[in-house]
Amino acid sequence: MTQLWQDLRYSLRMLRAHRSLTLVAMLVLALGIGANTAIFSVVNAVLLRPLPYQNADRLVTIWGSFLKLNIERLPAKAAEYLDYREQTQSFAQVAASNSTNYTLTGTAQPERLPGTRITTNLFSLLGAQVALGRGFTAEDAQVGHENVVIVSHTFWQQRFGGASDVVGKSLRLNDQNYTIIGIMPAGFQYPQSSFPFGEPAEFWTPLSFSTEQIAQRQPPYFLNVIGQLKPGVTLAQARTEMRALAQRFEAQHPGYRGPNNADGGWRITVNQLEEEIAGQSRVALLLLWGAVALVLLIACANVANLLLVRATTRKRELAIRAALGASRFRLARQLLCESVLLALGGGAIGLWLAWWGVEALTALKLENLPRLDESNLDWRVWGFTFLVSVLTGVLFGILPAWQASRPDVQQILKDGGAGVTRNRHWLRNALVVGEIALAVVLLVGAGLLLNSLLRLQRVNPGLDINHLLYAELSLPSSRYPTAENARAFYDELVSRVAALPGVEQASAANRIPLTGVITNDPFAIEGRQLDFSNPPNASWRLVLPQYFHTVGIPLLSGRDFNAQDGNEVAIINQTMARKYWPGEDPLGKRLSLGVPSPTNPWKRIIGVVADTPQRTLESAPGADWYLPFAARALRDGHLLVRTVGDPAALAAAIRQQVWAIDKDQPVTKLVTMRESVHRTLGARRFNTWLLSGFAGLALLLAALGIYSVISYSVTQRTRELGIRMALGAQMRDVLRLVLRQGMALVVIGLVMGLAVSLALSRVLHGMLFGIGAHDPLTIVGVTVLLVGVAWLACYLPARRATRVDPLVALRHE
Amino acid sequence: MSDALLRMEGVTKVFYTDEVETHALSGIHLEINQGEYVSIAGPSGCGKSTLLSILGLLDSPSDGAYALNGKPVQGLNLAERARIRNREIGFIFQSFNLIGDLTVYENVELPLTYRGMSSAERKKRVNAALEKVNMAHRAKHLPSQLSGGQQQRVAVARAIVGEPLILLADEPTGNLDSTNGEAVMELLRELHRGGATICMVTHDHRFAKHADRSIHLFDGRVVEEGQNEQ
Ligand SMILES: Nc1ncnc2c1ncn2[C@@H]1O[C@H](COP(=O)(O)OP(=O)(O)OP(=O)(O)O)[C@@H](O)[C@H]1O
Ligand SMILES: [Mg+2]
Repeated sequence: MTQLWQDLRYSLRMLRAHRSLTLVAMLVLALGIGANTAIFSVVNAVLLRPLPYQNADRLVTIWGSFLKLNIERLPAKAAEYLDYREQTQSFAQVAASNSTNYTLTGTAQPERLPGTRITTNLFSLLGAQVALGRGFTAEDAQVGHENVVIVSHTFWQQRFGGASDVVGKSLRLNDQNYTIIGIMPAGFQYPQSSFPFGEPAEFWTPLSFSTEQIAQRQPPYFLNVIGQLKPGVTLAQARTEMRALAQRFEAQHPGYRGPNNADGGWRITVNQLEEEIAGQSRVALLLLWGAVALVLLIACANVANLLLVRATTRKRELAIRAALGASRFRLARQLLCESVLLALGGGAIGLWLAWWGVEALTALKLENLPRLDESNLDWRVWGFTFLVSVLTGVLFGILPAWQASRPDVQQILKDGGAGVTRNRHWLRNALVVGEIALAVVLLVGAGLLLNSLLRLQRVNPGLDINHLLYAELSLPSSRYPTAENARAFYDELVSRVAALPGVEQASAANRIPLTGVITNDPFAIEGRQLDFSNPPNASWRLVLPQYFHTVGIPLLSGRDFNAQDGNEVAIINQTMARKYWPGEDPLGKRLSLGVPSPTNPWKRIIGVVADTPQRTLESAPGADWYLPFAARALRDGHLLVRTVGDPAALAAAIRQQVWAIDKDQPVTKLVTMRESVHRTLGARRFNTWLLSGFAGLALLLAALGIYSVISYSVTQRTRELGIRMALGAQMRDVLRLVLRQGMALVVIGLVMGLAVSLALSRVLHGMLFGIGAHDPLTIVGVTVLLVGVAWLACYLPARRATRVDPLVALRHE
Repeated sequence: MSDALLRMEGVTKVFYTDEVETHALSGIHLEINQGEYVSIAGPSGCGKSTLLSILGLLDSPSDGAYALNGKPVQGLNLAERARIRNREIGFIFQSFNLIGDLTVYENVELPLTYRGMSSAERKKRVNAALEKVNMAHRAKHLPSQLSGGQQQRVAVARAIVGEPLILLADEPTGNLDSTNGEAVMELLRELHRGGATICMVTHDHRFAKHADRSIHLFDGRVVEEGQNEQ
């Protein structure tokens, strides 16, 4: 123990004595460890940290799906929820919620706020309790008693300034009075923004079901169901039980078969909630994690190199220690102690860098990377950083320690004595080659992602996203009970907005293109046999006349909808025309959404429009078709406005027009199409830029590695260079000599790195867009970049080599 | 007079270090003719090495004129000086100064590689030079595998391989025992007999006598110059 203490003290002294080396090494390590800490804190938040609920690992989502109809993640009907609750053994509790937006009135402006209706047992399932007032009881769920509300801590603070007498006051939501009965504690959120259930609620009201709703097993499919597995019950067991329940449903109740009673592939799906949230981001995050691990490896190789250099200058010191009887183990431990201290120092700076990094990352507020905003430096991150630092210290310290701890006294004497210059450092060369190879792997990965992003930004969106604005509107059924009421609202709004100065055209639709949301349903074609087990499928939208002109989708043949069109016309896109009427003119053909019926008549195709990518810019065009508003009652829709100038400038005027028609109608969202499309690429940009940043860091560190090795070698070879110059070597001869030495390492590293990249290309496969994993342009680009940077790193010491004065070099013997 | 291979007139060399002026050479006049063997002697610090460096264009005089083969060398740029070192001068150092990572053959070949000579021609010349110093059988060895005497013979081969106008040797036997020193000296004499022009710094009176002419330096000045009877 005292020996270890001695080692520590001596190590500290050594680190202080070699201040500049210590500083450079710590900085290099700080970059490597900092990057790892930052990414780990994201991984921790997104993949590792449990949701802030009791028994979060046992929470599952329960969805319905018709696999054969391509319908998945279908929320439950009321009757289904009750059956999940009562007819299963796997769950300790089952609860449900339905997130919507409420219109809050009686305040300065009408507002649209996210609220969630929940079954009264939800809070107890989550292990949450009110901070003030009371929670929901079973009575609150009885029809007629549900006008009570529990509000969030933030809502309480913002609207009531945290007043303690708030319980018992009332809120006007959707034109009804609700009594506040409780307040949730600060920080409680349900749903979380990352849940597949809607936005975090500002308040909660009880869900109640009417007896008819239960008895008739009628839609709506509106309940997001959460279950808590009983302790000891596995996910697989729950799935098996729900599979059996699904079969019972199918046998006992109508509505679980496809059209014409064919097998619809009805299943009840059970997923772990945390898994469902992390799911898509997992691959990308693990990739980034792998990338920073490589950066750290490069940093290690770099520092190992620095230490190897110092070890050679310390050979004499170590030889003396060995002569005085220090065992090899003792020497190695001494050296390892130094490197671990060095790494811990680097780790401390790295932690500080990571803190900045995490601040920057969370500030991005990416919608499609769940829980990113929860990233922070918690104990887990601290522990990770500590562990990584110690491991790093051992990793980069072990080679130099091993080398230096066997000082060969004879070798030292021989090298010092003879008039022969020697220049051997295969180990350091190998480290540099390794650094370059790793950097190449990262550069190729980053290059491929960057290339994909660039291509994606050049994708033809199929419409004109510039000068296009949309507003999200959600008309409450209380004021717009019928389809005609809603239709009248949208018609008037469109004509008012179209008349605004600076507006070129306005229209409305239920779904906005390129934002990721589509409605996919089976359809039938008149005169063709419908294959009920695998019906044709297409996404459809409800649009007002002038929609195509407003968003900029060209009409290829036929005509647009007009105000007189009713429920019996449709417009299809090119892909749909090609797919279902190849070589035929689709105009005049008839199809129906689902199975035709007297209330759902055949629709005649009156026009064909151009394709757009189906969900987001990243997706290929699919079969899309369009129906006039008259086809369905539409309350949740979007106003679309094509403007002459800056679209954002019209936001206020558009809001005013909405309020001119209905002063209590909030506008939920008002964004430009450009911004909205930009946002769908958020996670991709995040991955791409981070990986590029890490690749850049790797390149920098590798360049530093080459620089230090070549620079050191030039110092070592001063005498040799002097001899060569005395013998008549010209400047360019010396330059070439040194550059060749450096570039040989670079080329070996490059080839190795490219080979590894090609082998690893499958990892990236799913994240690429428009290019293959072996994209030659990327490989050429990486090669040029690496060779350029490495050449510069070699050129600097090579230049120094040409300034060697042979006379001086030869005199210093 | 004007047919001297190498002529120095009034050459002075002053080193400035930390406000101290060292007059390493003061007003040196020196001529060396084609085929001559000149030895330079003198106490330590008298300027012998400095003189040789200037003769070999590794350094330039602070003042005075120096002409090699009738051409003045002042005002030549670095590249031209390197070219002359490479073609006209052969160096032999006290501490051999072979490059440890290169084989004997490659060490000897080195001056030729800076001339852009064909490899066949280089091979011929290197082998001939190695024959001359009797080291052809060690061509593939590394310097560290040779004795000191053998290393210095390789260094001599490297000095003569380019067929320079003059060989400059700075205490070539300084790091050798007397037997090996003897052998190297014999080698130089043989080269001289074959027509080589040699200028050698040595402390050893026995070896100084091998030369046609001895020059004594003291404190940067030539104090004595005399023909040796052969
Ligand atoms: N680069 C230099 N800077 C300063 N002083 C120098 C330099 N080179 C040589 N001198 C000085 O010039 C003088 C002559 O040095 P030189 O090496 O020519 O002596 P030398 O005759 O070769 O001695 P030795 O027999 O010990 O080799 C010495 O006083 C030396 O200290
Ligand atoms: Mg000397």
